Amino acid sequence: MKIIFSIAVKDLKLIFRDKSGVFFIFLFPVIYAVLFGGFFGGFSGGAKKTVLVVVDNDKSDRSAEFIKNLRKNPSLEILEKNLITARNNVGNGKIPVLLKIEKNFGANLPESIFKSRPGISMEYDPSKIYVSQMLQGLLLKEFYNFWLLGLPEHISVIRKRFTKTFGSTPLVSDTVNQWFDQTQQILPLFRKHNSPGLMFSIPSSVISKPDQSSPGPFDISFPQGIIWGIIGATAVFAVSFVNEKNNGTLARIRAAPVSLWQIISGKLLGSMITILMVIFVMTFISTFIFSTVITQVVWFAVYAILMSFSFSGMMLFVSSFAKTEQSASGLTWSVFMLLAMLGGGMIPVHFMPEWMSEVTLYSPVGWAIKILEASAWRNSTFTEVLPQTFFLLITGILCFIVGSAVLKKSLEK
Amino acid sequence: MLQLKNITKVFSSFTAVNNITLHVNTGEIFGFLGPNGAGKSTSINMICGLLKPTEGEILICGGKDPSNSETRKAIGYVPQSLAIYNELTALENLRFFGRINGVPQKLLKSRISKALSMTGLERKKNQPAGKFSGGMKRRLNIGCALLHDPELIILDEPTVGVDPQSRNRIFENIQELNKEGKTIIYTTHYMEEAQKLCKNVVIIDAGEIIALDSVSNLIHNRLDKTVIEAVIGNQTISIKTDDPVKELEKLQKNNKFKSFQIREKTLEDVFLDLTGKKIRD
Repeated sequence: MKIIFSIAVKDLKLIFRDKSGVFFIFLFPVIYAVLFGGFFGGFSGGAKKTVLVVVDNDKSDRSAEFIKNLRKNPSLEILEKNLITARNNVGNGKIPVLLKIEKNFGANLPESIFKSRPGISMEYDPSKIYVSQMLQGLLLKEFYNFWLLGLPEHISVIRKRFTKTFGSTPLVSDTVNQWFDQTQQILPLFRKHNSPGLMFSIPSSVISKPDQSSPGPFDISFPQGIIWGIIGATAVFAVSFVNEKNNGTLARIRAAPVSLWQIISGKLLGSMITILMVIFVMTFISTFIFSTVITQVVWFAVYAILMSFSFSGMMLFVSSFAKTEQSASGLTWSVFMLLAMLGGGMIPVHFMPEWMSEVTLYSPVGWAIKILEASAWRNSTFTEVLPQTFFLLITGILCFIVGSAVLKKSLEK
Repeated sequence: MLQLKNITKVFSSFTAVNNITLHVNTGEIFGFLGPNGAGKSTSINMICGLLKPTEGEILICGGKDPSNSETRKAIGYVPQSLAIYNELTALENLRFFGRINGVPQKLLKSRISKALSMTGLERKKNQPAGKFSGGMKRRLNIGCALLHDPELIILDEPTVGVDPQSRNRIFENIQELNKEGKTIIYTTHYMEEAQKLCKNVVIIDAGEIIALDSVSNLIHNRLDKTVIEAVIGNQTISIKTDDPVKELEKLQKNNKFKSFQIREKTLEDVFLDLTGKKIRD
């Protein structure tokens, strides 16, 4: 056991004296968690407004009124420009989306909801498709709310159009007139009970379990930051192990009265301690600086140990195959970047195409995020995350077995 | 101290070492010589227990198998590469290698002091090894192998890339260790080093022993030719000949040579005679 500890302590010293390693293990995950927490509204001052450039081709009172209403939306910053300037701004990436108010927007407004194009259209920067999709929903809501503001007037216009169209047939004409009379009687009541312009507002609230408080942005971003720290530790350890294979220190250790099993155990222990330190440091920062709460402390500790073992097993697997430090670093980062991407560590899963979101179910990084969140803020039971826990453990064990076997074989050559 | 009995090592279809048998006496400095790719490192790795022979038997310290980890306590291995941790100080390097070699805690401090004093690194003991010069690193590389007081010390090209002062210090260390009764296996490409330090040497090429004898026997008996050293331009060349008189006459007639003389034969002459002048990769 003394030898295993000596190897682990030596590895920890090596890792903590490598400044770039410390950056990737401890600093980068904190930066990530803080930035993403801030991005999701973790800092006071609110989210940044989305800039929308509006091109008013109608120049009517109604179009001006519509733009005035858009300016009232707290999440939008409205700029008015001509079409050429607006297209330039979107084309060179300065502004994500332009909104074009078409000619006769005001004249056609009453009947516009019966048409496929409501007299407004959007053009967007292809690299900001998510912003355009978000704005599409927001503008649709703004447009309908604006339309509802002029509802009595619109109904009069529609009534005239219907009467003109069906007026020649007395039966239809009477029916249409009766329907419109009744609608116009109901309207004042409707306006009384529904604030104009808020008809399409969908109330929303956070789902939480009875014994769970709503998670803040940092509750969500810190588990993901921890995963980046674990990936950093795994990569740094894999590189350090390959470095030992290549510079002769591993051969020197093997020439000592030490078994390969003790060497692997020492390496594994060093890696596990580093990963546990990452989790501890990140949790400490998130709890004491960003006021996050760990809902299941004991399970969180259990999952932390499980993750430290699994990712150390994966480290052994990668380092047993890599021939050079560069290949170990490249292999670890590329494999874990991919797993992080597929596990929802980089791109939210709901933005992924269906086949890709299916793949996320098979990413160890995804499993790790899930079980960390389960004990940190989701307050899930063990059975709820049993599959992820099981698969993460099995992956760690398999990687450990295969990595050890490959390492043993490669050292015999 | 060390016995290699019909050792063969085959990697896939390549035979790196072929049927080597030799014996190293306790307390001697034994040279393990050979050109690049001769099978020296493979043999050393088998002696250290890092590789298992395909055939044959290796016995050290009265019949123990080096692949057994307990037996390896008797071996101090100094690899050819600088197998030290640049991020750790000299003291930390020595402490780590002492611990993994099973030095008891109560003896570790005194052993480290001895190793630091022997390698001349006392004043630099708290500096990271990465900041050391090449010679200091080489000395630390040796020091790390001595902490557990091994009976058999294997030095794999310990003087590569060091300045004359450090090289001299390393020679002194080796001779000192030998005086303490340690058995030393010394591999090198520098034949003058082997000639200076070793009593007996083995020369292997293509995995096979081509000479195994004392240095003096090899120099005086193995090479019956006379060596003439001739200077042509800025170059000094050695000519081996069976008829020195005729060769000297020939050189005299040739105006290109600035000077020429018959010189003492060296181990290098024997080595080149046995292994040829063809460059090995």
